[in-house]
Amino acid sequence: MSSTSNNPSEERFTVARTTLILDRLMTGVIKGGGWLVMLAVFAIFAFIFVQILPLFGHPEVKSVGKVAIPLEEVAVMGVDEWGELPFFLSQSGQLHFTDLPRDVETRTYERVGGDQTSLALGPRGLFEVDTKLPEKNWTAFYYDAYKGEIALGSEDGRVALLHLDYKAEFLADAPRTVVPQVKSELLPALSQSNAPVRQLAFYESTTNRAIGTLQETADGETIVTLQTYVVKSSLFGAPKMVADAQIDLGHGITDEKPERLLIGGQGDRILLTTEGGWLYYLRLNKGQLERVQKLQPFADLDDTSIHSINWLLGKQSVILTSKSGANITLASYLDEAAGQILYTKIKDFPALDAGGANDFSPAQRNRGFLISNEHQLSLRYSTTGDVRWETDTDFPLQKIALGPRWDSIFTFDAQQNLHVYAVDDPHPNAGAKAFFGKIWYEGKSEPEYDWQSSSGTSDFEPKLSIVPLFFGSIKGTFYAMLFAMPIAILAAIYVSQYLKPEAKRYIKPAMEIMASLPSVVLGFLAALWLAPLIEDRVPSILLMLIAVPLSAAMLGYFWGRMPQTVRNRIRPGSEWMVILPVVLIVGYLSWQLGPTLESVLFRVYDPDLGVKAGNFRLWWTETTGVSFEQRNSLVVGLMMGFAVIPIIFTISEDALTNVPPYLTSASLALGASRWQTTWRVILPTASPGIFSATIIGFGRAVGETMILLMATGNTPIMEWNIFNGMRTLAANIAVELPEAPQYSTLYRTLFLGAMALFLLTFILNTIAEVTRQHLREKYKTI
Amino acid sequence: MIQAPKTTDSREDFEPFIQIKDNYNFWYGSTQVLFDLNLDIPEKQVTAFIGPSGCGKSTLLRSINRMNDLIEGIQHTGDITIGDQSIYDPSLEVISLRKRIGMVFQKYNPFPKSIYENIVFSLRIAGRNKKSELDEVVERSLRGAALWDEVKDRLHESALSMSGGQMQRLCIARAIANNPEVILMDEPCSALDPIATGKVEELIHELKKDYTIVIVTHNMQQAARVSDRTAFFYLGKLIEYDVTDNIFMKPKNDQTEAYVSGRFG
Repeated sequence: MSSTSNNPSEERFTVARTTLILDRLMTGVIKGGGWLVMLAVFAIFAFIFVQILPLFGHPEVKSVGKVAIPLEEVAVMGVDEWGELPFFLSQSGQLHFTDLPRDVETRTYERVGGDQTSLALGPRGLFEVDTKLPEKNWTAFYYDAYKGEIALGSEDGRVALLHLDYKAEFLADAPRTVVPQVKSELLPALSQSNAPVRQLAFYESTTNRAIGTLQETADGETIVTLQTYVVKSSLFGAPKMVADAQIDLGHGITDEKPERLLIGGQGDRILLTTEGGWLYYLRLNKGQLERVQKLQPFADLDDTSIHSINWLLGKQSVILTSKSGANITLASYLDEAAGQILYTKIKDFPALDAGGANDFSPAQRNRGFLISNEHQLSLRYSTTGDVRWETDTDFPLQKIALGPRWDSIFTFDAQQNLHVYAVDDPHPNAGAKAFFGKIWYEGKSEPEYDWQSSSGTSDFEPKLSIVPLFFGSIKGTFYAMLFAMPIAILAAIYVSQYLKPEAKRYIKPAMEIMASLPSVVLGFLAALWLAPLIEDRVPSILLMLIAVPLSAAMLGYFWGRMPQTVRNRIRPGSEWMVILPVVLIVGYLSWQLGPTLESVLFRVYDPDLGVKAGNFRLWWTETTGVSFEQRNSLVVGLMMGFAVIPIIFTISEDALTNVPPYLTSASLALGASRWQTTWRVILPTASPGIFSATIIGFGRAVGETMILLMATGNTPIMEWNIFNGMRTLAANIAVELPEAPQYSTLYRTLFLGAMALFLLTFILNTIAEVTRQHLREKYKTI
Repeated sequence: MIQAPKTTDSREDFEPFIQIKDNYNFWYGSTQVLFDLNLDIPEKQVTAFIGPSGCGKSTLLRSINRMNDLIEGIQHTGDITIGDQSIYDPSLEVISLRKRIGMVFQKYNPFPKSIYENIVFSLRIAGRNKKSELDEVVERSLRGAALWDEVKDRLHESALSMSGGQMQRLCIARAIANNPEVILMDEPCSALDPIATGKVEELIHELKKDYTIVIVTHNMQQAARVSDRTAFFYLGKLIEYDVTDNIFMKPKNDQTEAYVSGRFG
């Protein structure tokens, strides 16, 4: 006391140190928090960006080195899974393997010499494995790298089979060793024995086998034969392959000389090319040979002849080259008009520089392939029609092989050198075209946007277009907003402008609780309760959509015509007591009358009943030609509407309530009705808020996952049809997450989907904010 | 203590246009705010309601065009007639009642629209959209509110770009656009500066040639300046009602005298 009175002015006006410190501290904390939030958002963006960037990268291929392999007349070259034991099959039938030591961890090859371009051979060196086949002059070879099968045709008309398998052996005190295992089989003599086999095709499954041979007789005639085998199981011993039928493939092809052949399908699809450049698609149907299609793949070239034809992985597509080097993909597709599978050109690659291919090696994991001629080595990808990598070699190429893991390339040149390249191309099937472009996938009848990341077999073609997913997101959101927006905004208008304030006290929190309903519960309800319920009652719902608003409007009209004395009995704010029973009764009647309406309006022939009956599902499919699914956009719209309504409602209601009461007073005092006041004064003034509400609801709907995941079929189709489903970007991430190994193409593609979602909401929100500011400026109040 | 209201003027003085009669009582819920009012308001004159805050003068004013209806739980007894028609007539639409009565509020409240649209609002809600008619009404109303010369070149600009005084006069113009019979003014100058106030008062003077005006004001000088008759309310009761000069020069009631001389309020 005394001290303050001694020196009052100084102490009284001094701010306490703690106040200052606290003030600075809190300022710092708040600033830091704000920056952290912005940093976090940016970091998420940056992380996603880094994840998707490699998808658009270019492959890196580096020459590793070469090693001399003193072998003559190499006919087939192949390589094992690990790229450590390439094999060479000579025309005389000798099989050699080369031991190339490769580090298990770094996947690098051991090299020797000062210039580090020579590869070291392992302790086994170049070694031969006995095929146990008789010594013959083999004239035709067919190699299926995916299955490790080699078929050989001899000069004297014999066919032999070689089966190559690699086994990794783990011995104590030694690194992993890859050991080849070779099985062979010499088949019985063909009917046209002695005539040399010029071309050979082979197909084998556990139940049947087909061998196609093209032989040249002494008098210059070409005979094409298909020998089929079936498995016969006996009570004792292992099942055996037994010769079944021999079919003359060249039958009826008189004007053209057959040149090459391939066998696909289940051993029943034969592609036969002729010297004139025609491709015959022949099909074996219950032992009968049918000529399905005859086409000229290089009809647009001067020289139409086909230089090479090879299967791509999956045997749906063939890669062809012409004499001049043109390179295309032909693939099977279902021709709607013909009602059967046909072949057509789906991809056009840049032509090879120096004529047709001299060797070809398909990838064993994807739709890529390695193709070469004399000095050109090209790594291409069929799905996207992309040349991944290409080089001109300064040595003449003879044989090429693509590492099964898409990680190495082996070439054998005329100087008997084996060259090895390391390939770093983790995402060959990615790229802007794959994600955003229309692609003609094999098996499809036209180029389309499609998403199918995985399948039952490992040799399928992944389809990674995110366009249908984007479309799905928009479609789901559109139907949800179509349902939610009018209801939510009208409800907000009603509650804020018409309803008694006491009732509002209960309704608003109830709606807000609705917003917190877990969407998984809504999705569950939609899928297991609503979808089956709606499935049979579409006419009821259509009737309701028309009858309920109509009856409400008619009631309003007649209510307006009632004498004032009657109307005065209902106080403003309690009108629902009149309208609610009417709406409920009309709704109930609509629901009950739906089946009657269906049997009158939607009569269609019902194959199950065998008579004409009311059936909306069939009627819809018949009339519009599009499908009707149980889990469809209507279900999604209704249920997602439920998720979105509370959000739009709450924010809109706040905006409407916050319109200054003096504007309402001004309008009412001028003799405006409540509706006129709402429409002309309150709605425009609240429009920025309602707009925000809509956009926030939109954002919620776009990002919604569980409801869409559960209540749609998750089919990535691109149709606006309300009675089928969709697959959204968000649901897609949830569905595919367990199937996407880290850093795989799918993993990064899912991030691309996430980025698309992020950008979609970001752009929408930006537009919305700009519009909202504009509206706010326009309708600002004093 | 508080004397029963007594009508100090004789009915022979004028033909009443608005009548508050049959002992008009008014409640907000269970709180009675107006007690046994009987009051005759003459046509084409300015009648001022004065009294301290909470005396019920605004409630009475808002009863005349039934703006109080917006509030939940109001009740009344007695009647109010305008030109012999009861405002509580069950066959009368409250909307059509309000079309007959313009209202100007304490705080100017133009719509967030253009000057032009503010004025034609009452026509548009009546479905009258003919351009020539609207143009004519805008000019007439703005001239009537002595605003025409100030804003004629920016009719399509936002009303909110005007000054406070202009906005209040715009609200008056908006009220007279519909050609009402009565204009109710609820402290129309309380948010205005003295110059703007002067202009509005001048305007009131002009308007009474055509309209019956009832004005609630806290400003006794204003009441003295603009009104022909003045009613003094206190605690929901009408204390004294007479020609304005009488109220200010020779009030009959002590409370009136105390209030007008500034001793309470």
